Amino acid sequence: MNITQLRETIVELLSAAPNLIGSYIFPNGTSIPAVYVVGQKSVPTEWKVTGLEVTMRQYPELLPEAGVGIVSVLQQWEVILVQYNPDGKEIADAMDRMVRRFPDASLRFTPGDDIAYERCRFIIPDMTIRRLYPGP
Amino acid sequence: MAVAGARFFGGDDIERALLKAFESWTREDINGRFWESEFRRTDWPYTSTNEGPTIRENPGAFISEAGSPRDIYDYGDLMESGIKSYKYESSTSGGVARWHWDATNASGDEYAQYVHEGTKFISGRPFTDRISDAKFSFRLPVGKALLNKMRVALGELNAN
Repeated sequence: MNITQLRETIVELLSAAPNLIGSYIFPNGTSIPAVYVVGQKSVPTEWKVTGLEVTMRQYPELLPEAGVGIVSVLQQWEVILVQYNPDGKEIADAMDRMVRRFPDASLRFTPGDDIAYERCRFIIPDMTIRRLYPGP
Repeated sequence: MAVAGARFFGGDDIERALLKAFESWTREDINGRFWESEFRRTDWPYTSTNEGPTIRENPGAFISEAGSPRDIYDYGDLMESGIKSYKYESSTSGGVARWHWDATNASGDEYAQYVHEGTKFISGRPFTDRISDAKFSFRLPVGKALLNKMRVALGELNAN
């Protein structure tokens, strides 16, 4: 799995009816679904967020283990759901869909308070077998 | 074909050896080394929607302006609170190591959760992930340390 596949999978999962994904609202008033891949840059501060935000790290943590001519790589992807509106319930449904789609993921739910929004962080393991580089 | 020798130990002996290795791992590898290495890692991504850079309060900081990525050591108060709280409990069903990160801020409130999971304005830096079920793996150095301790403990059974 790569980040494009992860993003597509999660968008499809959480935008299926009823859509659970909130919106980013740009300064000019237009909006897009609140899904962001965090790489060298994080979500621009001038974007307003409503509803449920989904962010994911561009690169997973890689844990390789050498084999004979191959390397097995455990990739650990991180996906974070944040409920920006305190009265919203989308995060509960989103967690339910996520654990059923990624049953081997571990998750950390943090309730909201005055300082932090309600959020849930998923670590999704993804094992791949790769040939050694450069290969035959 | 010749079998030079083979021994099989009672389950209780093996369980005691593994528990001893686990306790040693939590005390020496986790509490003795791992926490400090995690807090001093300088690759924690830090994003903040507050305007302006963070200026470290610690006058001894080598670089006063904290950017991203950065470490989470600061004065070491949060790290020390966890290390000092270490408690190991053994029972007939196994062993449990516990840490309580109870350092408080200027307002007297505990803040470990906000460092770990983030706030409305700051990204989380989950410093316990690599030994919790979130990311623990025997492929990590800390996981390999546990495996090594278990191998040694089982090897000692064979030697006696």
